[in-house]
Amino acid sequence: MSAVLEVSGVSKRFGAFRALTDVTFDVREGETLGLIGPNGAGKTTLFNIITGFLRPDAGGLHYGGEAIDHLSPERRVSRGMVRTFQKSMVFPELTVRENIAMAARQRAGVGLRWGGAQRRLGAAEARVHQLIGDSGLRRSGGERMSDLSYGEQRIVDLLISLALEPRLLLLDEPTAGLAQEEAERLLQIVRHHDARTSVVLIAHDIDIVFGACDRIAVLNLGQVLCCGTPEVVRADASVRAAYLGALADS
Amino acid sequence: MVAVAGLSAAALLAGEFHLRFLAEILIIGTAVMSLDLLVGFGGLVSLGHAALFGAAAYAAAVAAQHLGGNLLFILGTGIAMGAAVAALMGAVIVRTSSLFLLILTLLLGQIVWEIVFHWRDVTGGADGLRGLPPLSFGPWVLSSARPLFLLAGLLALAALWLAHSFVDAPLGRALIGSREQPIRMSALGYSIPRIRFLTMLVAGAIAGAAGALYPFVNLYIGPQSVHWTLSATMIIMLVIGGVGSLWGAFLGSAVYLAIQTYISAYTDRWQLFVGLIFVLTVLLLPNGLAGGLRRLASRMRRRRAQQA
Ligand SMILES: Nc1ncnc2c1ncn2[C@@H]1O[C@H](COP(=O)(O)OP(=O)(O)O)[C@@H](O)[C@H]1O
Ligand SMILES: [Mg+2]
Repeated sequence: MSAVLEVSGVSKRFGAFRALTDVTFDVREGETLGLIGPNGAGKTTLFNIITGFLRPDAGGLHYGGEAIDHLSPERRVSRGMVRTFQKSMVFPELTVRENIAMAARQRAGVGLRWGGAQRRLGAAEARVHQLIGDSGLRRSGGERMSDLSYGEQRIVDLLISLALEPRLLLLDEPTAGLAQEEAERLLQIVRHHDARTSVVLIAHDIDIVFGACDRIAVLNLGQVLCCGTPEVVRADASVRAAYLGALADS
Repeated sequence: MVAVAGLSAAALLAGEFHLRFLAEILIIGTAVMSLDLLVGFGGLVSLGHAALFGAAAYAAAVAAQHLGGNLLFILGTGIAMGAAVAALMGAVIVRTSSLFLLILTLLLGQIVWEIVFHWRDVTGGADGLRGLPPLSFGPWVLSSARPLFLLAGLLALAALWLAHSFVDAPLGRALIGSREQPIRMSALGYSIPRIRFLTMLVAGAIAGAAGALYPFVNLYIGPQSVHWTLSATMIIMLVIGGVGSLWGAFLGSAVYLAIQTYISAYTDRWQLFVGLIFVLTVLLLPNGLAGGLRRLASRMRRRRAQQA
């Protein structure tokens, strides 16, 4: 399996604080990679660097075999690299449909149109309709975001990203604050979306990560402790010491 | 419909003075409505909007002096000037927000004012420009109040239609997105500077069209039309009328100009009345007069539905 994303020797400091130190790992075509680690380990910072929101102090990124360090966040998105945020980031004043359409139009290349392109706009609308239908949300799409429950908002947040038809999807704690059942439904939507999409999933719930991921990378104090299949990670002594602790024994 | 009926009634019934006054309300209202695209939909509070409007007004006046008052030519000149100044301003401000945006637009607007004020040979400096030729359209000379008023009405309706179509289009939706959740918009691949720049161009073109007609209402244009105080006045009009409603801009400009025209006949302190209305609006009608009227209308509709 070839790698969609290769992160090589990435380091990042905030002042004197070393948020990431020599981080190296890859994400393979079609896999789900779990990214775990205690709060403050640098997971979100790593997402910010991968997506171009932050520049690394050292190291580089290859995406689809190409160096992308010079690309702006928008250009990375246009190549299929899509992220969500730890905090839900929807458009609260707009309807569910309009929230997802914002992404679907951009994907169809008509995000900034004023007039014309009726066919592509129609296709984007149809895509939105389909995403809402497939999601299992029992919503027509005409509801304002602020009228939805938190769990539903997080699902729409995910649908917005899926509307971009990502090649690499980076999910920053999408299941935080959700009930077990809601979290499972959300991950099911991700998995059923497109088997070719590679996913990097940050989550704190160990059961979710070990159940949903093909491989897991463990980050601690800005360093990759270990990266491998769930069995390998579970057995790793340094991971047990730093993070899993009693969890893995139980 | 209501707007068209109102315009026709006014054109038939009102006298010379009132028609010119109404034309001024419609023209300034159009400029304020274009400001609403920035403030209401983009969350971009600009203190330089009068510079777009006023520069276009001067360009139109100077063009008319040298080349005559052909309506389409004058409108084209104003639109081009409004869009050009907006492009300059847009290029500077697209990456800023809130306080910096406010100060930068203020400074850029004042640069335009400095140019107008000191370039006496062309602009007449502090005296402004008088004795402009009237507007003409084919064989018709549009110098009396009624055609000028109708022209202003057409401008206002066309601009309102254009603004609505902009807001409903993907570009307008993206503008709202950039106000609500700019970081997510970047993560969706949108370029926020691009959205803001394009919006500035549209707002500048509409303000420019309004500015083009403005000198011909009283056949005079002066430097106060580019001064930052007019920019601030436009924001006051917008808040009174209702931010984000588009049509409220016309209500706000009507209220403000009515106070300025009628109360100032009795007292120099007319700005106190403006202040009072402003405070009352902010306290009682957070969505301005437009929001208040809309609430009233829906309440009446509900009551009628209950009776039926
Ligand atoms: N922009 C920033 N400036 C300064 N410190 C930051 C910044 N972003 C993150 N940090 C710090 O870097 C560390 C890693 O943060 P983060 O990547 O958010 O961790 P995680 O997502 O794993 O919980 C934290 O200690 C955080 O306070
Ligand atoms: Mg985090």
